[in-house]
Amino acid sequence: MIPKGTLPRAGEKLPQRQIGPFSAEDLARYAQASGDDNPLHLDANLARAVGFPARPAHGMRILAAFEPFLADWRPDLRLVALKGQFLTPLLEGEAALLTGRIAKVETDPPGVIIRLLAHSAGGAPVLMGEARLTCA
Amino acid sequence: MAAASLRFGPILVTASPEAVRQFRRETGWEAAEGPPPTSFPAVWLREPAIRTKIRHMAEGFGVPVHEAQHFVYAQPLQTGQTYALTLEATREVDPPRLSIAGEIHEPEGALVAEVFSVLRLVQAPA
Repeated sequence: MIPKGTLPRAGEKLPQRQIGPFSAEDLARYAQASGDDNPLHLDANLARAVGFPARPAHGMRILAAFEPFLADWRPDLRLVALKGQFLTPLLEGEAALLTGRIAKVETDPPGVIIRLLAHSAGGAPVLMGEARLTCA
Repeated sequence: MAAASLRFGPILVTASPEAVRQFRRETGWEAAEGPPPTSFPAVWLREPAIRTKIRHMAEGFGVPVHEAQHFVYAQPLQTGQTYALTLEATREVDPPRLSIAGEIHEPEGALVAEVFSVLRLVQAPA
C-alpha cells in the first residue's frame, strides 16, 4: 500500500496491462456507448477500401483504457490531463499492451507526468500519450 | 465548398448517469458506477448538432480518422451536470485534416475542461 501523498520516482514503471483482443461486437458496443459510429470502425469493406486489412479499433477506446489503468495503479491521484496520438491502428482481433513510465515528478502542485504507450501484441506502437496526475 | 474554419456553440450537454455508466462499461472500468471519465467528452463530440457540422466540413476531403486527442481539466466533471460546450473546427489542406478545439464551461461560466481533437481526412479509392 502506497501512503497517500507519496509520489513515485521519475523513471518508475507502472504495472502493464493487456486490453482486448477486440471483436467486431466490442467495436460495435463501444460505438454505441461513445456515439462514434464512424463506419470505418464498423464496416469491414470500407476499412479495406481505405487501406486497413481489417476494422480498426477506435483510437479513443485505447486512450480511454488508460484511465482505469492509472486509477487502479494510484487511486489517490487525480487525472487532470490526458492526451494521446494514435499511431498504428489496432485491428479487430488484436490485443494491446498498456504501459506507463513516470517522466517527471512535480512539486507545485504535487503530481506526476506519465508517458503512456500502447502497443500491439506484435510490437507495433498503437498509441503514444501523456497523463498528468495530481494529489487529489 | 465547406468553410475552412467554423466556430459553434454553446451547445448544452449533460453527463447523464446512463451515458456515463455505458461509457465506463465499454472503456474497461471495473465498476460501471462512478464519476464521468476524463475522456467522457468524446461522447459529446458525437452529438448530432456537432457531428453534422464536422461531417459537412470533411465532405469531399475524405473519411475522418482520429489522429490525436487531448483533454485538460480545471475541475472534474460531475454526473448529472449540464455544461455549455463551445467548439472551433479548422480544416487544413496539406495534409488534409480537421482540428477541433473545445471548451466546456459550467452554466455559470467557470471553465471545466478543454478538449482538442485532430482528425486526418483519408481519401477512399474510387
